[in-house]
Amino acid sequence: MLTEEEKYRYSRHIKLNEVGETGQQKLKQSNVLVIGAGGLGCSVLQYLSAAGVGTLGIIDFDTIELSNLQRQILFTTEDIGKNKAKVAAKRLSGINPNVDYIVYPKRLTTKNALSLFNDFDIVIDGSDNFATRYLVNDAAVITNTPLVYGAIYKFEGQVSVFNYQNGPTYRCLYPDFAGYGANTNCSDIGVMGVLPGMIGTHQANETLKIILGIGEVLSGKVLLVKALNNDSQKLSVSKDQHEIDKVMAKADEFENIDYDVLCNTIKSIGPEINASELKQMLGNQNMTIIDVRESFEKPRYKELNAKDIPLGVINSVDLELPLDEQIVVYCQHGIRSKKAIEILKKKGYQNLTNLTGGILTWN
Amino acid sequence: MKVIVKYLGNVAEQLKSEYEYIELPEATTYLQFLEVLNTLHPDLQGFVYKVAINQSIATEDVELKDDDEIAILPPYSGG
Repeated sequence: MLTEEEKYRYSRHIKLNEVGETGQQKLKQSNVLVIGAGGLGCSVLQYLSAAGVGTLGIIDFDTIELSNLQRQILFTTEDIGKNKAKVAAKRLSGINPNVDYIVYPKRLTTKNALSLFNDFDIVIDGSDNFATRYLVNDAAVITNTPLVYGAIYKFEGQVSVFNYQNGPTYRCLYPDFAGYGANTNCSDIGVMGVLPGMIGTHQANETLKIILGIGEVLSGKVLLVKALNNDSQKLSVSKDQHEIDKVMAKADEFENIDYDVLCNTIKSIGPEINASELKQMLGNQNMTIIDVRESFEKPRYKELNAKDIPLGVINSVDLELPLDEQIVVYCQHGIRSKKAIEILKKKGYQNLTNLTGGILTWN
Repeated sequence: MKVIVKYLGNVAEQLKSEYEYIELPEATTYLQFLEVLNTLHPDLQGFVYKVAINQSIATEDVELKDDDEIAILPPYSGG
């Protein structure tokens, strides 16, 4: 039931035939999770809070920086250094104290995504990198949660609703991330401040339509918006069942998939790597280094933290690594390691790199 | 025949062009068009994008027609 205060607060909704008290009640009973309280998140959260969505989850590990304030309009200069999810919830409770704000001041990971998504009716993607976007898509597919997607680039934005009533998913539009390193930069680039406001508002609109069951939900379509010339168009996207099946087939190992590999390593590594390139990548969590020399061969460098698997046994040893793991193989001169790569390829490993010239080039 | 090709996101940036008209032999198919595009713009090698023909993301090798509108749509990651 709506209280008297709520009836007045939402009176302009209630006056709409398409919403009414019944619709407002639906909003009050809904749970929505917003991934990222950045540009898109700040925009979508304000409207969903004001609209009276009953429970809003906000997940963001990041802290507010001065350069965020140009577009992340829930934050003020005094908030610099504080966690985005916490400050957003505080500000939003001023807009609408009736909403339950659930704050997750942490990173979305494969370990927490599924249980989190299961607690919400709708997930909104306001993340700012491909690794998270694929993680969010796959978790939404596995948990069968509708995903309200928005993404921006400089002056342009895309909006869609994925995984809605058996509709297409993000991977039906962009199947795989292989090769993204060639044309994308995961670090910050310029963006027109008003753009996430526009795209986030579209996301809020789609979310409200889903909850209320009104209008046409942007499923099977992707809306393109170009702020510079006001061009906008809707493109049809077909469902690709094969892509969805691939996600479901990996559902059991979801928690162990390393989505960060996309942005952090694939772009910087080819089939061959030299010692100085490898040095820069040391410590990267998403990479395994294998030494295929015999145990008595020298020199050995502890900082490589390599697994010792001599060439003679590599075919029979279980590496206990996922097949898409980034693997760098080395030996003394870079020749045996090439043979090892051939063997590992046959075993199904896909991301194999040879240390050119071998470990003798290390220093 | 002639088609209009609209470039979006970082593809437009790379080509320094928002759109262009491309002249094609009659009955050129979608996949043949991609070859023409790659020959015309070798810079696009390595770029990831989806192609929409007349506002529909292409899923099969259809024959193109005069005046078709083609959009080159790279993924965006920003938020």
